[in-house]
Amino acid sequence: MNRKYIKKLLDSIDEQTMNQIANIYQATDSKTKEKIYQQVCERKKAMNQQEYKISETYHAKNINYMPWTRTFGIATACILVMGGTFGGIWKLTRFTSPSENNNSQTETNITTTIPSVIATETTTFSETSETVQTTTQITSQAMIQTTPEIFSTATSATSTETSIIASTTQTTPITTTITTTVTLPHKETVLSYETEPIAINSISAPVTNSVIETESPVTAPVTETTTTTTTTQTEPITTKPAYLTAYLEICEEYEKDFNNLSYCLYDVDKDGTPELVIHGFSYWISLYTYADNQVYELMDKWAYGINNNMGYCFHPEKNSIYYNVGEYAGLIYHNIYLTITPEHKLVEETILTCVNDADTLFEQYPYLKNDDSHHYINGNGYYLNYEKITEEEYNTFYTENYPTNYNTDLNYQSYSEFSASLSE
Amino acid sequence: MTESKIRALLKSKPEQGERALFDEYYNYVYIIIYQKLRDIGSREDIEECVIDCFAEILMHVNPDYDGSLKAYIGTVAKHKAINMSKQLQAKAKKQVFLEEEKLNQISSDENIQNLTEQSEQTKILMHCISELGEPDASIIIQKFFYHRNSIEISKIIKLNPVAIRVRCSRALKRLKTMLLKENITL
Repeated sequence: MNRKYIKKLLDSIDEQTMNQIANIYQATDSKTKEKIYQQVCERKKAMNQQEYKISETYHAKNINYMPWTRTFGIATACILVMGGTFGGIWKLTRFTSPSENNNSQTETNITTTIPSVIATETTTFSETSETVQTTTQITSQAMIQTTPEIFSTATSATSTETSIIASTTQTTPITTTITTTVTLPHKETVLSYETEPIAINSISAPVTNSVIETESPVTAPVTETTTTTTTTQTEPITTKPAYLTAYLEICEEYEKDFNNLSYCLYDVDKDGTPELVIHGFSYWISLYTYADNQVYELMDKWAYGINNNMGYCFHPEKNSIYYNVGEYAGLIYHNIYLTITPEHKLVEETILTCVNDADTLFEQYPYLKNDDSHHYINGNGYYLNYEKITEEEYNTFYTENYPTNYNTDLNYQSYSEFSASLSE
Repeated sequence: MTESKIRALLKSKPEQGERALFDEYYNYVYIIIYQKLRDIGSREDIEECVIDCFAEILMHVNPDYDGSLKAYIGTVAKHKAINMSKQLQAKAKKQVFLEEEKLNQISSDENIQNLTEQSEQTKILMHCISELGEPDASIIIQKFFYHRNSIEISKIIKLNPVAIRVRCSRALKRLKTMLLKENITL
């Protein structure tokens, strides 16, 4: 049969036949189809981001404009955050500024606001007069004035204050403690307020205010000494190669579907990254390679043990896989050498064919004479990629690529052993 | 899945609808693009064009549109394929105009007669291929229409390449016998 004519007929199909083929036969394998769908989704997303035009031919797309309230809110929030940041920085620089760090500082004002109690306290420190004046103002209800004494020895001072509006002496059960600590380079002041909250309507609670101030005797400028301690981590940092994780995921998938599988890693293409070989039930193998951060499937449960196929063998030094196929009870014998391409595909590199007994072959299978799939057979002989070669050439090639040079028995492990070794 | 169901899905659950549309028309789009690009583009070019085509379709498909969805998809696929074909030709510096090619093809009566005969034979061939049953029919189509080798076919048919090779030669023998019965001698 003329293969070319079949190809020609199929190449010139009309639209109806094209529909028929599309309806019945798959255009690609399912993995390619899935890969294409994922890429379609990605491209659609990219196009959606770019395209905001309203098409006249097709329906208009939804365009999500940002509402003005949201824009205003974001702008206000940004201004507040920036204001807060600058304010904080200004305060910090003010407290730690070298010009203010010496003893010439004369006055510091601290204002504390207590929102829940509705009270405002203003404390004034005056180092020159060595007095601290604290005024606590409670909204329209109570006024507390205290003038605590601060001893020059700077140990501690306690003063008891009496409320001006002391109409009742009811004691409220909740106690609020406010502690303010101001740290200066040469002087540390600790203010401790213990105040019972004051109710708005006719409540006057006794207030105790204690001020503790500690003054360090240092008067000279302080020289700062910074000590840096460096800790060196001595524990080894181990990173598992990405392909191991990817391979383990594949193994897990296989374990879900099959039992008694065995696994091994073998660098088939000799690129430094081993391939994953999965051996199933002693009659099929699968092969996966890892490159470009993804796994490529090279063999998907390729069977052996039929058609004189004794199994798939891996060359220890070359990027080559060997297997053999016999047709018509071994009258035609193929030695097939596969290789992994840089594009991570498994291709037939060489097909070495031997026709042992053409007479018997054509006697038993007369249609082979006209069979285009065996067009190369014209008697006993040897063929390299379906081109006739001499016996010497055949033998030379076969010896150079002798099957026994290939590994048939890899170091297969059970799933538990394999996963444990990968984890290590 | 029918067009109306796909439209309904596109309205109610757009993501599911898009997936259904893709699954339903993937082979159709692929074959249209393949027919246009197989002589000038690689398999990667064809897949790239399919991606481009579906992205365009999914962007602009209108579930409320009353016309035939298949016709719309087919038209987009053809246009995309022609664009890609022109790009590839420009890349390869082969300034072959498709219109001229078509005119050359129908320039003589003999060609028309040949084309008609071929068309008839193709129909008979397709009928015979489908009579082979699965997976032989798929193997023949993949081998002679999509020009795939046994390894590539093994990924689609889920048989190993050895089995594909053997089945292909046996299927061809059966096909020849069937075509002889239809008075087609090749």
